[in-house]
Amino acid sequence: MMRKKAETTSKMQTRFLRKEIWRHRELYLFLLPGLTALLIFSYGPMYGIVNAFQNVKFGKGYGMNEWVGLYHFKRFFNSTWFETIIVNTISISLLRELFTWPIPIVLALLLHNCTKPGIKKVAQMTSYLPHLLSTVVVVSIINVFCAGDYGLINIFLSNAGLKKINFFGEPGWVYPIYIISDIWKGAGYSAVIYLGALSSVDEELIEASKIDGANKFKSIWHIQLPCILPTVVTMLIMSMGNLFAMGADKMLLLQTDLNLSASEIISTYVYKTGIMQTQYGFSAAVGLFQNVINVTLLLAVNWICKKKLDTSII
Amino acid sequence: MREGDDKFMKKKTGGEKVFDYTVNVLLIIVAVICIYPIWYVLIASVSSPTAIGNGEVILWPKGFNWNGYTRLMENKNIWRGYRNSILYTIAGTAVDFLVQIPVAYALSRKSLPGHRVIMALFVFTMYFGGGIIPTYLLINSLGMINSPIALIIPSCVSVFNIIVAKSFFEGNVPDSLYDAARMDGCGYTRFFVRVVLPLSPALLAIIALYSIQRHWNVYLSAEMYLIDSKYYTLQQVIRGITAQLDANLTEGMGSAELIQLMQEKQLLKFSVIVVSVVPLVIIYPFVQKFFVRGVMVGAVKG
Repeated sequence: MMRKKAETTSKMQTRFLRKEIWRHRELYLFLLPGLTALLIFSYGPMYGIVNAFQNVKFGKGYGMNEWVGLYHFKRFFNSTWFETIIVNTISISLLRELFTWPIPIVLALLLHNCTKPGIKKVAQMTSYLPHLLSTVVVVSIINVFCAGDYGLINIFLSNAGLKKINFFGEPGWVYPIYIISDIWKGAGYSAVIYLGALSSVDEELIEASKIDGANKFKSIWHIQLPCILPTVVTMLIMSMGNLFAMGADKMLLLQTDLNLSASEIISTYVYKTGIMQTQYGFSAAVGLFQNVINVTLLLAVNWICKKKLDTSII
Repeated sequence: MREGDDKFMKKKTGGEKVFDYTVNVLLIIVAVICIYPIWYVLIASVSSPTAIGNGEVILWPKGFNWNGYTRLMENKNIWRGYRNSILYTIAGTAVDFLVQIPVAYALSRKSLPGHRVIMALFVFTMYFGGGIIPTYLLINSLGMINSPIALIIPSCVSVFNIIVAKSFFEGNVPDSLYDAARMDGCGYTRFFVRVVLPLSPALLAIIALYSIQRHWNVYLSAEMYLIDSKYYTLQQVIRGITAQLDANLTEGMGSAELIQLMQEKQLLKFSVIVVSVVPLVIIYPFVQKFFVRGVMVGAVKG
């Protein structure tokens, strides 16, 4: 008796589900173009990871080449560039993270505590203007300021009788240039997120603290910062998860033969060995290596968050 | 409430005054840092090369002239790049819209069987992908190399945009609205076109801004997929001009003629930056407030 009842409910559920699917048929059509593109252009390349284990030659079908096992990986691990690239990638990622994350927070606090609406508006508008610029334009502007002879900075240095700085010739200058321009481009945009979190701070709390004699600095430290702490942590974790997913474009644009020892990172190496030198199998393997590290890091960060903070980013 | 605030502000202590003052000064410094590099490029683009070379151009143009822009007008590559970028941006944004907005709407309906699984399929690609080489090989085997289509179609699924749009629909288009329309015999497609889209100008502005910005600024994909210089985007042309300069600069200069040539090229470099930024700066004030809202939604849900 009970069993029969259960069967009928499950049958009814199936029938209900079918009806629901039929009722939403138009919505499935909405999904069709997006899903098709996703399967071809996002999941297609995932299948293409097999290229990392093959000897890729043009003319054969996609992923239909001769298998070479871990040959490309071994070659990468034994190559002379391996250590430099790994060290560079790790150092630039960590340094960038270290310097980039506090600034939007400070900027958001400044904007939030500004009592002059005019200044606030101007600062806000100008601070996310750089975000609109392309990487190429940002690097072009860097050139305008830092180029060897015609850069503004060097013009001033030589006018002041000081020695010119060879910004693109000395490996030591790549990281500061990269990081400072990143901050310039992104700080205002990232500050928006913290500003949103700050706008939800309870005004009554601040008023109450004022009555208790807290000055503005104290109210920032004891009320505003703790209030946005969850956002800060989430943002930090999210960027930790993407720490090694650094794209190639900006670094490629900043690279010169002279600063290669500092500026060659995994993604630029992949681009150059793959697209420019057509060692497709090898570069696919290097790219996969970066990808795996990145996903591992992401999962690890996520796991720690779940354990310790009870939040999840995925 | 306002009055009360003002009264409170009048009773500012000395410490608070110093605090407010510091905040204002710091924000002005921030604004100057953000705007100055762009301003400098702008004034340098209409200044004489000699004045720039002597370091006299700091706040205002010196030796005002339009030479940079007249040279730019004569340069066919720049205009071709400009035209290409505009065409790719329009086509790319249109495709983005056609693909992303319907997907986001469908996935925002909680009653849709399987919406969770399908969403997970999309979100997964945010964290894991094949990498640029397998993508390149795929585009190649699809015969899209050296065709602008490679810049328009493959990037049409922006999961970030879909998340932003989905959470907008979740918050702003309640299911009860559709139920009411269905009573009148309205299907999802008609409802979407007649009701959902007219309800969402803010969202459409956000997605348009993101798409336009992405397509206008794309560089590396263009470098990878476009071989023929007649297809080059504006970004590629800009890079060509600025990179060429740097290479020449390091070679060392001999004659005065060469120096003058370099300075003229320097001018071209400023004006090309200016004209490439102009379209974005023009649309920026109109969409700015949507932009901020988009960041918020994206941050909360992303």
